[in-house]
Amino acid sequence: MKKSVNRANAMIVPLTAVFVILFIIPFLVLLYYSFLTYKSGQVIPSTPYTIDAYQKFFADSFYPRVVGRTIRLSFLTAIICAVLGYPVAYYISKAKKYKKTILLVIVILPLVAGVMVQTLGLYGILTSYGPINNALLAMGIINEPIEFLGKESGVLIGLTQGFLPYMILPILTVIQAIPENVLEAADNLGANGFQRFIRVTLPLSKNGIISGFVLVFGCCLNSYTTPLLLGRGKVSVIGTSIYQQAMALYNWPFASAIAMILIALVLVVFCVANVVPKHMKKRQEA
Amino acid sequence: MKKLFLSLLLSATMACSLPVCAMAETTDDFKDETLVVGVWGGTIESVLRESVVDPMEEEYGCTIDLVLGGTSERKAKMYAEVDNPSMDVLFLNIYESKQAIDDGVAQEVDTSLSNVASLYDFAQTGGYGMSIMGLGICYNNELVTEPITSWKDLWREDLKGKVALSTFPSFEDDAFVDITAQAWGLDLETQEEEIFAKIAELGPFPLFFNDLDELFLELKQGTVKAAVIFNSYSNDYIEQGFPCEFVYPSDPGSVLAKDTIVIAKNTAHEALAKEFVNRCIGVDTQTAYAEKIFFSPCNKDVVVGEDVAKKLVYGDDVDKLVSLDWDYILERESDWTDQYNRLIENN
Repeated sequence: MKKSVNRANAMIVPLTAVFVILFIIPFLVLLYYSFLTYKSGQVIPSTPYTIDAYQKFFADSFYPRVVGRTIRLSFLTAIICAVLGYPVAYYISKAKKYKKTILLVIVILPLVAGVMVQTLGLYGILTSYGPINNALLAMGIINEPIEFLGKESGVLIGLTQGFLPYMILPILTVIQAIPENVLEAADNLGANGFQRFIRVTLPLSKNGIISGFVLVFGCCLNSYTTPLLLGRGKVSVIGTSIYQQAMALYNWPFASAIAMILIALVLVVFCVANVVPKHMKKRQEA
Repeated sequence: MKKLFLSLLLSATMACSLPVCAMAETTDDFKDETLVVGVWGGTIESVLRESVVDPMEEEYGCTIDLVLGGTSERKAKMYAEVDNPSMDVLFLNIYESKQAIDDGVAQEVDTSLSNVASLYDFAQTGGYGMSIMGLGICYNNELVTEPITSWKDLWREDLKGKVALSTFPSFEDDAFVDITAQAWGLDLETQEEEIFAKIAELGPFPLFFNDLDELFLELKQGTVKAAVIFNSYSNDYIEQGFPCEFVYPSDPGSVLAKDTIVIAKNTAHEALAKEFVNRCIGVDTQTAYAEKIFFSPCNKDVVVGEDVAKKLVYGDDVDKLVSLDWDYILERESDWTDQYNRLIENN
């Protein structure tokens, strides 16, 4: 028994090493940088540690607003993805063999293409002279083109399109894991299709929704390319602000401080996502 | 007599073969070396490959890797990897290169390189000058019927909400703050609030561009009618058929910009890097830059035809460009970026 435990421990060593090297050490470096001094385009490591970067973040209401905008966009994207993704996941779960494979490939394909390609494709579609506006104008639904680009609405569409697979896949996995006999039992007890879905399938798939929500929310929080391109440089989010400070101004202390605040936010989301199902389970048991 | 003739013949043969020997030695020196060069992509890459990279690789048997991208990433890498640089040669802009040399991460200009003496004086300091550009205004001349001639014209009613700036911070945006101050008689050091209020009057901004294809597509479509941009970039797209015109605006004038090359301080391939730079600033490459992508030459010996010359900052025009106080601008850049951020949010 002891031997098998040791072997199991040994198996996680490589991943732990990778995690320490690629996450813990850079995290500590960023934490260190966030307390350094930045003056006239340069980081000055020899001066005493300072909380200037954190003070700047909270002193200037712009940056808390950027955080607020990022959270709002991330939350809305996750909600929209859940609403759009659940029926798709449900439909795929009921599909048979080849059809299921084809549908799964369609869902996964955008991930293979990459964010940049997807976003550039969307850019062409969403412009004021793109096919959506042209179609709406031709049908007489609108008199003037709708400006999606350079607005939060355009970014929201881009994020939803980009991260929808991250919602569909966990929900699909959970729905597929629901035992068939549980659904049959609901039928035998007189539930119709709608009741079976509301009272059995949906509650049993909530963990998939929560997992998908956390994934989509987390991805949106640090998204960069989509807000930059579809926002036309006018929709500042945490990702674009960090890039601006670190790569354009070389203000690594401030960029690091924003990153620390972002990490703290992600941790809060994960903690909440972890607590909510347990709380719901306790309530159900009670 | 025969002996004398043979001696002369031998001497002449040796004299003629000396450069060949020297070349052979140099060739062997660079064989199998790999030089990494950070540079912009697109047409710049094409011309550089054609004029410098391919000939050098063929001649020396070395490999020259071009790492494409913007200057921000390059400069950040140069500072982070000062002891062991992954890029040996870097193309930067006018103020980045000077700062990199001042900060000790890039080498000073080596005046012993044969082509350095042919550069304009201002192109011999703060890095090797590669090309001169003038910051001005490019506008859609089909939609904007009244020609734009001065910087103040950007504030005209017919251009309201149709002026595009680049994503900030950037050379263009930093310079535009100074230009706005000069155009409207405001003091750069004491009237920043008024300057940014003046820039805000141009809003709502249709686009902050970081991609020229995107900008010129929007210029063609009319989403953007005018943009603050360099002459070289504009002329390249105008040549492709975009319905635009570039102007060197008055009050106070077009701003001098310079693409510059620096060699990383601790490069392991210094000799090869210098040979690369020397070819870049040589007449052949500078002419190719001017004729193919309309980048004005820093080499005084370059001669181009009249048609090309019209699209360049060339000859006496160079002296008419406005130089800005980049030391002060860099000092204020971080704060200006915050101001730009707020300005955009409210537009």
